[in-house]
Amino acid sequence: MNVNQIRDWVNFELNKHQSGNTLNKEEYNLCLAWANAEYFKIKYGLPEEYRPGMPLPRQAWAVSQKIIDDLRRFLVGKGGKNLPQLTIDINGYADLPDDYIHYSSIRYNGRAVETISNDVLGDRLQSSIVYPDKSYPLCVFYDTYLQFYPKDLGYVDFDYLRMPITPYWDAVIVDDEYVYKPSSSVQLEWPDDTHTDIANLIIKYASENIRDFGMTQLAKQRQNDGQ
Amino acid sequence: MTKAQWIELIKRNLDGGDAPAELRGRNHEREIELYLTMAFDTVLNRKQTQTQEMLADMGKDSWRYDSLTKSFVLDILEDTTRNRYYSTLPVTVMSIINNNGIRMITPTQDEGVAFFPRWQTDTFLMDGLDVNQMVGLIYYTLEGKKLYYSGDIDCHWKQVLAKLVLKFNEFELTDDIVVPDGKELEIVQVTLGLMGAKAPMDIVDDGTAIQTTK
Repeated sequence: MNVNQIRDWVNFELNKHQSGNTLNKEEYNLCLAWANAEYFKIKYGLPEEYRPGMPLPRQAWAVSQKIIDDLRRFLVGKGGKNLPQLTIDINGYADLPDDYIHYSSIRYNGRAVETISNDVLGDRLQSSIVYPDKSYPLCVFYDTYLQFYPKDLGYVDFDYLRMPITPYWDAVIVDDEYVYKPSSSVQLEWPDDTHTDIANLIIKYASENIRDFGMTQLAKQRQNDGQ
Repeated sequence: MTKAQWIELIKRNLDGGDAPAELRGRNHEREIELYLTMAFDTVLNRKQTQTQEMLADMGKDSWRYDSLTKSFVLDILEDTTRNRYYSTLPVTVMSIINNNGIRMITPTQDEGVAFFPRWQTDTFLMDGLDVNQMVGLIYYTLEGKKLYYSGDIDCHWKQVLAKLVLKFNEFELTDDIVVPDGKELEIVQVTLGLMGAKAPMDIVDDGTAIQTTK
C-alpha cells in the first residue's frame, strides 16, 4: 500500500468522508511520521514491557523470524555486501554511524565482539580471566562513538538497525479536494503486511485528537490483537 | 570432541543456544574453560567404587588417563647452583595421585629406558644408595613445573621425551579430547553444577539417588 491508500483507509475508519473534515495534509503527515517511529520502537522492543530478571518485551529484535522480516529493511551491515567495515582508530575509537539506532551484532574476524556496559569496564580490563584480547574483544558504547578493547583491532563488521525513512504524503488542492502527488511522496519502507498496523496507529492518534474514545479503544484493541 | 567443541557445548547449553541476544546468557569461554578444567580433574580423579577401577587405580598406571596424554621433547638444562640437571615442563600437568600426571620420562629414541619417579621427600634416602651408581638408572623428581634428574644424565642425553597428562586448559582448541570410560556426561554435569546452572549430579555411582560426593 502507498501512503495515499493508507490515508483513504484511515478516513474510512474514522468515517471522515461522511462527517467531513478529513485529516489535512499536515495532520496526516504528522500522524504518519509518528506512527512510523512508534511502530519501529514497538518492533525492536519496548523496555516498559520488561519484567524483573527478564529484559525481553513481547516484541523484540530477532526474537522471531517475523520480527526479523519486519525489520530487515532497516538492518545495516557495515562490512556486509554494500558497505565497508567500521574503522577503528589507533586509540580503539570508532564513530557510531549517524543513523545508528539499535545494536544487532559486532564481529572481529568473524568472532563476536562482546558489548559490555560502561559500569563493568574497569572490572573487565583488570580481570585475570575475562580480560579482552583479539580472541575475545570488547566494546563499550558512548554518545557518538564506540570504544574497543584491545585497541588495535583496526576494523570490525557492525550490524545495526537504522531509523526508517520518514514517510510523507504529498498532495495539492484542486477544487477544494486533495489530489495525491505520488512522485513527491515518500512511501513507507515497511513490508506490505505491516501497513495495516501502521494505519491502525494513525487511527489511534487521530481518534484521540478528535476525542473519539470509542475509536481509540477499538484501535488499541486491534493493536493488541494484531487484527 | 575437540576442546573448542567442549567449550562451545557448555556455552550453548548455558547461554540458551541461538536465543535472542537479550535472553542469551553471557558466559565467557575462558570461564567455561576453567570450570571444565576443574570438572575434568574432579571426574577423572574421583575414587571409584567399582572393583575394576579400584584395581586400575591400585596399579601404577591408570589406563583412563592415556587418552589425555601428549608427548613433548624437553631439553635437559643444568642448574649450576644445585649441581643438578633438570627440564621444564611446557604445560601444567594434571595432578594425579603419585604424580601419575607424568606418565613417562624416557630418552627421546629409546622408550624402553624409563626414568623412575621419586618424591621430593625420598631424595635424601635414595641418593646414597649403591643402586643409584648404576649407569643409566635415572630418577626424576617434580618441583613445580621442573623435573630434576638424579645422576649424570647429561652424559647420555641432551633431551628427554615426556608423556604428560594435560589439564584441560592446556590443550589446544583443535585438540581432540577423548574422555575415557563414558565420562562425558559426568563432566558436563559437573561443569554445569560448578557454574550454577544445575544441581550437581550424584557423582558417586553407588546405585542410590542420594547426592553424595566422595
